[in-house]
Amino acid sequence: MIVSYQVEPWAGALDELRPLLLGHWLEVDPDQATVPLAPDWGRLANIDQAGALVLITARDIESRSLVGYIVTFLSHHIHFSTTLFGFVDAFWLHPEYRKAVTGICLFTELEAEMKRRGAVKLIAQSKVRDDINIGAVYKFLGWSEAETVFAKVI
Amino acid sequence: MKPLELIEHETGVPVAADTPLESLGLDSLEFLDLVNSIECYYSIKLPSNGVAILDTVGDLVNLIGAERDS
Repeated sequence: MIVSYQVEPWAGALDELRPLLLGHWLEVDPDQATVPLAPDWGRLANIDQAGALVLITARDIESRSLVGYIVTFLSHHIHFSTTLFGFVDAFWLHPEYRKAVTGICLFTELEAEMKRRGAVKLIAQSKVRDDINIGAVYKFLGWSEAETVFAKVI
Repeated sequence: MKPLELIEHETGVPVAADTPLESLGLDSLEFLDLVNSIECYYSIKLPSNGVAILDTVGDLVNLIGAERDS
């Protein structure tokens, strides 16, 4: 299974993205019973139309099917308004494609595209569950651990 | 130990230069464990931009060689 990595228009990939987002949520979200998946597609479209949504995709070269993605928002930070940041919103690779360098390639593509667009700093999170914790990928790519995020259903 | 032997030792998989990396049966995190083992064994640092474009075990061996020579 050979995979290609590229930047794609959000609107063009949306029909293929929807089922993957569902698989993503089912795999990783521990609070599914209380917090249902309900993407705000209109808001996402607005962000895209403003040029602030960057979609990196992974596709199977033979079938051309979508097998992974990184969705990132490009924005000036509210505390550092002169600096363009990339806020990674979501990333996922189909389990069958989590081989060798695929995760590394997705994020390498992201870094190149965000640099091309003028971003200076990238912010991303990682799940803490061992089988989906990609902290090692970040560190290999030169990222440093900056914060720990906590969550609570109330 | 030569790089090819080290990769075989670490993965438990018989390999040749033209073996695709995806055939090693490693996911991304396990592959990084292999990279870490290689870096420790040879006291080198493999560049992430070089690793990201690897296709085969031979590519990895060549990258190891280049870093050992540099």
